[in-house]
Amino acid sequence: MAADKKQIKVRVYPDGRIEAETVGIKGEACTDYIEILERLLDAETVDSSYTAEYYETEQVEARQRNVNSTRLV
Amino acid sequence: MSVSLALVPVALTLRLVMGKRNFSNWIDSMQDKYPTSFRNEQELVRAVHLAGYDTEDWGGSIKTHIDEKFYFFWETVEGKWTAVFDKSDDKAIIERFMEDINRAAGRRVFGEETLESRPQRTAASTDRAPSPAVREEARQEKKVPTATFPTNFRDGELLFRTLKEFGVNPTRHGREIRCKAENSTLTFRQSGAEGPYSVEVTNAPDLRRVYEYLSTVDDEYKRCVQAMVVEKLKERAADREMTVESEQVLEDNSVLLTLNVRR
Repeated sequence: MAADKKQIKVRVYPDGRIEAETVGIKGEACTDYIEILERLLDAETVDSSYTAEYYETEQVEARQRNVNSTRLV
Repeated sequence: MSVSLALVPVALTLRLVMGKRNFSNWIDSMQDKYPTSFRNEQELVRAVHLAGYDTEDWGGSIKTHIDEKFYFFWETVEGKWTAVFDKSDDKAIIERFMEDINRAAGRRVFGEETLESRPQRTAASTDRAPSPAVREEARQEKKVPTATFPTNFRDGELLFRTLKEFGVNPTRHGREIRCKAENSTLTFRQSGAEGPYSVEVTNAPDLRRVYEYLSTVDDEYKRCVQAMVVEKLKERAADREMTVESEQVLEDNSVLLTLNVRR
């Protein structure tokens, strides 16, 4: 799989429950897909969690902001 | 991976519907059970017939009519053939019935403590059989058993279709859906415009069977929801600039769809 490939994996169980996760969609952009998935599936989100990739991306962005701040000072 | 979601289709309410164990406890609280010392089914059937009553095989239980409309079930409980009555059944009639059976069996198959611990014994109860007037009076007094259960159903169309596929000929009465199943009338009512349905069960000779039936309907309804969700997702994906890369049915019968996002 290409490193920048964006995917959504949706698993629908026989009892109707649905699990979905975004793959390769960086940072806060992935949260846009919560509403999109709810509309696509006619479903309501009952639980959500950010995975390591989300936080890693956020940390990189935060570190870059800190670096920029240091340079300005 | 960046975000992980758990979702519930709007056609479904995944709430804690009364579990089987709680249901059994609730049913037990509505029943009077009279164990016997019948050694086997043959002895039971012989004694019941000799006493002038009928027996009818009923999926592992035996159904016996005390009169035209009053019947009960024999079930094996902890290895003993047990007469299972509703709490609302007339105790005097039950007692007379048990005496009939004891007489026909030639011994006390219903335990003495069971008979004598019942405070409802009356002078008239020593008669061999109650008069038609007494039976009619008892029938009038007997409450029609009604029970209401929560369900997971929220989509009336899907529920109607599922019931129809079960061959129970559901009918609509305003916003209610009614059908007959397991010798009972089931009335499904929705709370609010989009709330979950509850089901009212009336005239149930055996609530346990109705519950089992409803559990089967529940399973089928959920399978229909699964199929509907998968189809909708495939149909709508293109509108959101997505393509279905793969569709797999996994060991637990769940369906895994992998969508490629183009933008």
